[in-house]
Amino acid sequence: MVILKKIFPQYRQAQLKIQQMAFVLLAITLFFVLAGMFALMFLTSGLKNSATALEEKNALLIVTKLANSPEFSCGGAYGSDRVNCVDADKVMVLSQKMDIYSEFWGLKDIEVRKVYPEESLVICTFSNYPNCNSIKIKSSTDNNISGKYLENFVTLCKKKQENGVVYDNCDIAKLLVSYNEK
Amino acid sequence: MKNKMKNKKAQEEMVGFGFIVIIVAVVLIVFLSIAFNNSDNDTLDSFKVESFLQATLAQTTDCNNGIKYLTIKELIFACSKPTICQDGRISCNVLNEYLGDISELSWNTQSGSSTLGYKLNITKNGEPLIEGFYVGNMTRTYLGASQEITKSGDNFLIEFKAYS
Repeated sequence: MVILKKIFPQYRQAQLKIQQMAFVLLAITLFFVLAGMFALMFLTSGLKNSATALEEKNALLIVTKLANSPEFSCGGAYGSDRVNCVDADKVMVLSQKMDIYSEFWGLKDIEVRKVYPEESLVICTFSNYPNCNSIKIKSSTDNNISGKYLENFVTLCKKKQENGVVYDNCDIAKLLVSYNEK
Repeated sequence: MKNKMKNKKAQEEMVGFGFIVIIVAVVLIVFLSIAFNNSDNDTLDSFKVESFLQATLAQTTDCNNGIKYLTIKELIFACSKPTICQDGRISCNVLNEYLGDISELSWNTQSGSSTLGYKLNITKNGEPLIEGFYVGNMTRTYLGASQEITKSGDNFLIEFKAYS
């Protein structure tokens, strides 16, 4: 090597040039890798947003599915089939049979709370029904539903009687569900 | 001597370049970690707005037309004529009152809430049926839903937008 350098003084310069080229190549490769990573990041962040939106929609769909399940839904009892309609009488009975259904939906708490008309919160029991505004169908605590929960608007319907005439009374309510976080 | 100096200069450049690469990589890693850990807790969904609109239209009111208690949907049709309730109230006034109260109780626009404002409009054949509800701030980001109902050749459009 030393002999070569002595015979060819330009050998050292060539070596330096090769080194320089190697570094330039390395820099270009790094640049493309970084640019690729940025592009990938933007693509995946878009995917992540879509996934989050889908997750939220699915979570809300669980609430909707619940509202339209035979145990909750109005069915044909209130005229034509209604979507997101919860039969108050049905869920009231269901709330008393919750020990059988406790693991059926895999949810921690299920509650139907009237939005309108505005009244102070009165939990429904068989002694005060229908003069109440919150039916705790499944409850892990005596307190109000808290922590991570999902809600969706539903129609809470029941049959009422006035002067011997039975009519359908529907109120806007919220179906709230909470689940155990994994 | 000249060659040695050239070599030293090249070495310094290489070290500098190495540092730049390391700094860029570190910044990139930090940026990536922030971007992936930033969870979006926005729970509002147009699906919820749609459900709200459906449930609102099914709400039974205390306006009796002599046959039955009208729902909001039926009250909209009654308002378009316009008719009065059995107790003498004008159907449009009852409709206004109900829609205002229901929207206010359903959408919390107070500070700290994810909803900053909302807008509710009802039109009949493109013309406003009642004065719309405009509450809170109307931002550029919103989730909306609409329901189109046709009755006796008239086209009713109920629109709701929740701004976040």
